[in-house]
Amino acid sequence: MNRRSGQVQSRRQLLTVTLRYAALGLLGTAGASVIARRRRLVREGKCINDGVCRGCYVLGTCGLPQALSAKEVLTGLDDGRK
Amino acid sequence: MIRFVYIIVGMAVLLLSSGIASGFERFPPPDFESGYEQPSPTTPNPRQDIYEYIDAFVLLAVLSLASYLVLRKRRRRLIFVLSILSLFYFGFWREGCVCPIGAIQNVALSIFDSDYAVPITVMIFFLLPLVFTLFFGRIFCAAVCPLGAIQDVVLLRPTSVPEWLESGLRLFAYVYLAAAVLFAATGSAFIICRYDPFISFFRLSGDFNMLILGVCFLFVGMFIGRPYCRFACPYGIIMRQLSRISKWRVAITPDDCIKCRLCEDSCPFGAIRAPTEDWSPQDYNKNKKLLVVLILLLPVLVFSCGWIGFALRPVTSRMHATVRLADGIYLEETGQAQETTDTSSAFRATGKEVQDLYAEALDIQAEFGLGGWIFGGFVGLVIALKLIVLSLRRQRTDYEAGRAGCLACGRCFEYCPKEHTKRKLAKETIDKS
Repeated sequence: MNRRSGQVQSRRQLLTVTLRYAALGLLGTAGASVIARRRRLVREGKCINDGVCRGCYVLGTCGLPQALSAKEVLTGLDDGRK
Repeated sequence: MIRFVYIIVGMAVLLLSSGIASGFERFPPPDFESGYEQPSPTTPNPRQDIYEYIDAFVLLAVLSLASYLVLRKRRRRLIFVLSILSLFYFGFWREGCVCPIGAIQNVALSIFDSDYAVPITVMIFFLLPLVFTLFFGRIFCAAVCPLGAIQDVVLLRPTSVPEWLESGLRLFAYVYLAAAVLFAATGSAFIICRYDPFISFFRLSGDFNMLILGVCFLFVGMFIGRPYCRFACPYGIIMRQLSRISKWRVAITPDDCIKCRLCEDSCPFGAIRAPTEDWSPQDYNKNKKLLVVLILLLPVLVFSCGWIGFALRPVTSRMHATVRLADGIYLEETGQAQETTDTSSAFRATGKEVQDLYAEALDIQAEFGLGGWIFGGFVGLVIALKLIVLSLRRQRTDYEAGRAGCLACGRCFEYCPKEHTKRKLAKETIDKS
C-alpha cells in the first residue's frame, strides 16, 4: 500500500514539475514575443501607441499629441511611403 | 556619515522630482482657438520610461522580500507591514497603474491584434507575479497587491463562508476574466480598469458609482476577508491555477502537524483544509456513478454555455464603439432618434459612407459571435470541471493550507504551537550565544 501511494506521489510530482516548467516556458515565450513584436512594429514604422486613437471618429480633427503622432504614421502609410 | 546620507536623500528627491516634471512636459496640451477647455485627466499623468522601469524593479524587490518573509521568516507582522508599504507605493503613489490585474487586457489585445504592442513594463508587471507564483505560491496577493492590502486593512470580524457558496461565488471571477479577455481581444473596452472598485480611493477622484462600489466592497470586507480577491479578481484566478503547481508553498506548521486544531479557524479566507475522513464502500460507489454522470455532462455544459455566449452577441457587441455608433446612426437615419450625438456628428464629418459603417459593425458582431462561443465554452468548462473536482475523493492527513486558495498572508503561523516552540528555541539559542 505504501509502495503504491509512493508511486502515485512520485507520478504526481513528475506531472507537477512538468506543468511548472511548461508554464514557465509559456510565460517566457509570451515575454519574448512581445519584445519581438515591438521591435517589428518600430522597424515597420508603425505607431506603437495607436490603441488610444484607433477607431475614433474624431481622429481627423483631433489635435492631441497622441492623435497627431498616429495621424503622422497613418498618413505615411496611406501615401505608400512606409 | 549623516551628511553623506543627507546628500544621497537630497539627490534622490531631486532626481525623482525632475523626472516627474519632465514626464508632464512630454505631452504639452495643444492650444485650441475655439475656446475649448481641456478636461482634467482621470488617469495618472505620463511619466518618463525610466520611472516605469523603476516601478518594475520595485515590484521585483517587493516580491523577493515578500517571498523571504512568507517562506523563511514566517512573520505575519512583517508581511502586513510590507503590504501596507505596497499599498502606499503601488496604490496611492502610483495611483494603481500599471497593475498586473489590468495587464491581462493588454496581453489579450496583443494576442488578437497583430498591430498592438504591449509596453515592456506592462508585460513585466504581468509576468513577474506569475513567475513568482510558480515558485513561491501567491506571494503577490500576500504583500504586494494594493487591492488586497486595502481590503486586509479593513478586515475586522472575519466570518467563514461555506465552501459551496465560496465555489459558487468564485465562478463570477471566471466569468469576469473571460469577459475581460473577450472585450479586450475585440478592442472594445478594458473593463477591469473601468470597473476597478478601489481606483477611486487611490486616485482620490473618479466615477461616483465606482466609489460607491468600492465602499461596498470595503464594508463587506470588514466581515468577509478580501471579497474582491476571492470572488472577482481575474488575475487571482490565473494565480490560483499556477499556485497549484508551485515549487514551494506556505506550510502552517514548520514541523510535523500535531492536529491540535488551533489553526482550524485562523484563516479568514477559508483556505485551511482539514484532514479527510475515510469513505465507506457505499459512498465510494455512489460517488463513482456521480463522477461518470458529470464527465458525460461536460460536453453538454460546454456546448450549451458556448451557445448562450454566441446568442448574447447583439448585447456584448454593443461594448464596441463602432457597433454603438452604427446603432446610433441607424436610429437617426430611420427617424427613431430625433437628436444627433457628438459621435454621430463627428462620424458624418469624416464623409465616410453609412453602409461601410454598417458592414464594419456586422463584421465586429461576427467576431463577437466567435468570441461568444469561446467565452461561453470556457465558462461551461469551468462549471463542469468544478463539479467534477468537488466530487473527487481527497486524502489529507494533516491540516494544510489549500494550494490554490492560500493567499500566503501568514495569519495561521501565529496559531501553530510548533511555530512558537521553534521561535522560543531560536531566541534561547541567540541569547546563549
